[in-house]
Amino acid sequence: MQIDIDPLSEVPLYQQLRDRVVEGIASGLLPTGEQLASVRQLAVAFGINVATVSKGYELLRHEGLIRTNHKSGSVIARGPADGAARDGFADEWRTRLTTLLAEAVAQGVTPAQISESVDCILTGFTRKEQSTEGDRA
Amino acid sequence: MTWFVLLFSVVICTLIAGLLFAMPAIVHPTVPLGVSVPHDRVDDPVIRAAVRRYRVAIVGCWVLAIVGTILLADQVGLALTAPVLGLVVLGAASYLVARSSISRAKRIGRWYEGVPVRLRADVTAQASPRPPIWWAIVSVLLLLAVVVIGIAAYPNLPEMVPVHWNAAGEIDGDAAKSIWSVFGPVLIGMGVVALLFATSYLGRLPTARSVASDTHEQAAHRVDVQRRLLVSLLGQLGLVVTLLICALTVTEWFAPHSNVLFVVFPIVLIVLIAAMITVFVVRYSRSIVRAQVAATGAHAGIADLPDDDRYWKGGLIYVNRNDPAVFVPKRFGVGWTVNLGSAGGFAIGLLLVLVVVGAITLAIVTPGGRH
Repeated sequence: MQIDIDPLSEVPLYQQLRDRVVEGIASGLLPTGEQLASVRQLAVAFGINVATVSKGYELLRHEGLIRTNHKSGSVIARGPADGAARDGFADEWRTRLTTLLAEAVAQGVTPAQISESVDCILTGFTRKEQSTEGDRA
Repeated sequence: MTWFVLLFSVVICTLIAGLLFAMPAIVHPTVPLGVSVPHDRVDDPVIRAAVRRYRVAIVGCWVLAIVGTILLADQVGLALTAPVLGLVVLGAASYLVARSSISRAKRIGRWYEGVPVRLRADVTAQASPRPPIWWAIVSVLLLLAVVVIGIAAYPNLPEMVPVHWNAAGEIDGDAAKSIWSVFGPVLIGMGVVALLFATSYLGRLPTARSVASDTHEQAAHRVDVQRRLLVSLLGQLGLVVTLLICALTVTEWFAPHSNVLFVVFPIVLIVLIAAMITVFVVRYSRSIVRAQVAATGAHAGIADLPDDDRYWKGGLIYVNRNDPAVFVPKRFGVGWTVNLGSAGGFAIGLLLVLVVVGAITLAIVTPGGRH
């Protein structure tokens, strides 16, 4: 799966890398067990510092989304179908969601518009998931 | 011999000029003459004019080189080197002059202002290209065949075998018959084939860069094609070296005084190398053109690669300390170049300079060369 990162963005590159991988997992484009490029390979392919990629992978590892061992490199460790999240995830995520929703409300986005966006994004994830399953069949 | 020298120089000059002329059509349109531009500027009149001027200049350089070859026909050494050297130097100068007008227009017109830029790569592990196993097998079989012939012929070989020839094709060095003096070149051939085969594993290193203005499928396809082509090029190179060594060895054993060595071999060698390069360039450009045709049909990406001209000296030499890649795809050219900003790339660059300087020094110092 090809991903794009913006070198001019205020969001750090490692954060963007982590975000794109999380989105890939949510949409089923990166299924559980999928092999990821090594840190060095990915840094070379982007033309960015090895430390940046390493930091992005470290975030994903810390979140339990990827797992790395010396033999098989980094693989996707879990996905939408792999059961409930680890303890404490829901609270932590809720805190971030609160900020995100507050931003929208403060800027005058109505609750109806927020609900519509959420539905739209979630449908987008499942649609991609279905289309990739269709490709494999 | 004059006709041969003339032909040789004319063929080489035409090959180089043809490549230089075709280059703007082969490279990605977002790096015309090695200047990075946003994809919605690729048809800018400034760029078209610059490419046209460059091409006119290349044709002029080619005519000069051909005229030079004919004028220098009496002096073999000069006729072989001066026109080629002149063509390369003048061609490079035309390129630098032509590209500077694009750079200027880009700077003054602020072409990158407000243009979204992205870096793109494949986060999933890529299947590595297979090593050039068939090329290697054919090469090794050929070398083994020569060994078998050598073993059969060994008792009948003279006690002294030639091991060195001067530029005129006369033997100027021989050695007592032994395993090393007879089979040395074949062993060297085996070594070269093994080395190139091992290098093909390193061929996984030069990752092709994805271009953000392509669709994701095109970007993946382009990367895949470039890596496979590099690996098969290494295999073909091994076979060409093998053919050369086999032919030289067999001639050395059975017809050491034959003039064939110095008339036929260079021609065959040039034809083979020209064929190899042509096949590589055609396949490479085809993969890129195909990707471009698909891009205009499908929804092309909206973003561009960042303007990285500051890392490309003259659009030819890449120096970027933040980039861990040792090999990167060339801006203006086919294939890869080293990143002098990386430790590995700097070491390779230094080695190349040393080899070139060493070869030139040796050619000047060693007596008995050309007169």
